[in-house]
Amino acid sequence: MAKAKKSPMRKTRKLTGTQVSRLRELFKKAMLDADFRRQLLANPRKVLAQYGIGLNAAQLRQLDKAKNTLLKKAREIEKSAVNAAQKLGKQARIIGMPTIQ
Amino acid sequence: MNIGLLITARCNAQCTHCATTCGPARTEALPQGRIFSLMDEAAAIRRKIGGDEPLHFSLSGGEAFLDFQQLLEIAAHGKRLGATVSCVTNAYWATSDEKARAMLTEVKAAGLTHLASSTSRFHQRYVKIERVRRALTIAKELGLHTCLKCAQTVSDRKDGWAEAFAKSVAPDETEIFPIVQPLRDGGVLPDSEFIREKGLPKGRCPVPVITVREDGKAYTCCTPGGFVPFLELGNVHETGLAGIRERYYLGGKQHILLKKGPIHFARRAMAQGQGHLLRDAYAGICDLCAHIATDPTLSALAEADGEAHERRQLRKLLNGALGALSDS
Repeated sequence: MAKAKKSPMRKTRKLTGTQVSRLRELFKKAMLDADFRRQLLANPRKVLAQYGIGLNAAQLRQLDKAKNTLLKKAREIEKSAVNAAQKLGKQARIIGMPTIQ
Repeated sequence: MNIGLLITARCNAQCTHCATTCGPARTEALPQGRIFSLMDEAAAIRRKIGGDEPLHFSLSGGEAFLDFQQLLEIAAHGKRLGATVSCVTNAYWATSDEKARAMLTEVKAAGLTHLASSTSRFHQRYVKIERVRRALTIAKELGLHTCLKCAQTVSDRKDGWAEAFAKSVAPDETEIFPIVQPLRDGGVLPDSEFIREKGLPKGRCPVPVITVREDGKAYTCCTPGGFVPFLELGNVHETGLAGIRERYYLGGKQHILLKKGPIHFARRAMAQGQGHLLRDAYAGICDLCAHIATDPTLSALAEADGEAHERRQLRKLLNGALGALSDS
């Protein structure tokens, strides 16, 4: 059976040379500037677009997927912290009654 | 998902140990429209993430029962959203069995599911402890989930009144916890009255919750020492709850507190020769966290740790998605 040809329209996640150099520049700025880093973490699509790093649909999907993975891991850590607190007998706090004295 | 809402700073009491300095003269409050829209945003986030995560709103203040009509409306809104709703009160309103039963019946019908009542030697200057007993006893009879919250000093622990009171009231939950610093503006308590144990308390953040205060500032904490810039996530009047929630999950300090606890920051401070800034005794995990958060040097070191974590997260995000930073 003949191997199916890749569609020329198929989007690739590979970045162009210009995109790579812009991304590295942006990354360096983010390493030094905490506010910018937080903006980039919170809304990578928007910040990358503002910096002229136009991503195609496949790259944007990858970006969303990577961010969702980070959020999912953080939620798992939160869940395990809740479980640990419950074992310590903090149920009243976990059901959501802030410890305002 | 659990969102704490400190809906008002107004309170009938002015307890010495109140870290948020609530009282009768305070007027700041979250506008009711914003409370509803925050609840709507939380429900929308839960729908978006799916799964079986319950939605819970924790109301406190100030004293939320001072505007009873508003409390009814918030509880009803929570019920419409399919959420459970708790409220912490000092029970000043429980002046008779009839009145307490009528109010609790109404608020339960509106949508309140949990009632917590706080007391302490400081509360008792303003609210008789019998009102706390009455509120919790009747709430339990009506089928609300009840919690007694007692803040304690060393003297309280010695005479054991809180334990005895809890035993006689028999709520569903009892939380007896040490009073920690900071106190109300101008509040003074001798150092010998703070319950502390030697050493650094181990354990992760025991209260992972986003709390929105009456001025709109959101924090990754709901304990009195936690309302400090170190644990601030932003302001809900400027950032939507979804953005605040992402900061909560992606913030470096928050991640460390949830995964390792404040002892991680304390150990890092010791490793960097700043261990002398730590106390030799703490009331618990929250006390250690609050101390680190309010000491300029300790908090700066912890900030640096959090930032290092955020840098690693960002590298993971961009490299994982675009694979372009492996050698930068």
